[in-house]
Amino acid sequence: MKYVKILLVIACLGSITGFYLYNKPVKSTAAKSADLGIRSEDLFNEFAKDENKANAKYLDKIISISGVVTNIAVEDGLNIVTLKTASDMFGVICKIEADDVKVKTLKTGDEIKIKGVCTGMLMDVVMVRCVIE
Amino acid sequence: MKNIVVVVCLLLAAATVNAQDKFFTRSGKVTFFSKSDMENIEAVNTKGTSVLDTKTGQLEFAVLLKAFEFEKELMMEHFNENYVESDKYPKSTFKGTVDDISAVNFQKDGVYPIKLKGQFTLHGVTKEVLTDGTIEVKGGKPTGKASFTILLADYNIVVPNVVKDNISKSVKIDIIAAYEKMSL
Repeated sequence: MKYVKILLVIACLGSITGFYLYNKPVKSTAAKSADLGIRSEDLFNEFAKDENKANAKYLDKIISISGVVTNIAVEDGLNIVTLKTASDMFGVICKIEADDVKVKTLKTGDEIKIKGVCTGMLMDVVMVRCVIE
Repeated sequence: MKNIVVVVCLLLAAATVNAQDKFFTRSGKVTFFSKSDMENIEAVNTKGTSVLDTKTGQLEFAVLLKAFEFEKELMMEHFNENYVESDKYPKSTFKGTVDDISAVNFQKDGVYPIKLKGQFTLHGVTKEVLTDGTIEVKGGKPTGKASFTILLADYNIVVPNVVKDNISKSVKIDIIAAYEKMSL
């Protein structure tokens, strides 16, 4: 009888943990440390030069990017910050997390550091779940 | 010398005319839904790029699969690692044409129904897609909307038996692209 009770307790704990893990929300980038750091110009150049190589190096990595802000826009309630590259038309686009407060005081021309997840390049390099450091 | 000036002027004029027909966005929104008895899965990507040529009706759309945002971390992981294998195939694209684009008056506000036909690429597989949609013109700017349903099996996406009740065999994809005029 005692064993049954213990087993029941374990089963309960197991299912609670399982349920919790299963429903775990996507973790904020703020709580994670960057895998590597680079300037926005260099990151863009690496993608422009050899996309496959850059994909292997940067995809899914948390990158701390330093660069100059060229544009700040709001889309769907989220702030989108674009960092400067050698190209006039295309940049490094960073989708800032909703709870980031530092983005509110940001101005075009500011030199900043942004930490986020690299998703690859379309015409711009796209970063998601970014926070301003 | 005079000839060169004339040619350059003509080329510039041609380039301007060309650019005037082209609309562009880098914040196209793609949402997909998988509806099943067990649970609904939804993911959103608001960083799609698209180019629409209002003269020829040509339309291209591209998204980075890793830029899809999910509610649950496990869903995101499974999507990227097991289903679309976004390390191997980081992008999904649509290249096609709007049938009879001349029926859309880009100078006049209104909602115009369209038919869209093209090649959709996902997970390294390209298939023909046919769908209906609309182009809404407002203040000289077009917004395109379309949705279509794909079968995961068509794109070699295999869902393991354990979770086969949680994931629908067909996935509905919604696309909204608010275009801006392309500037040279």
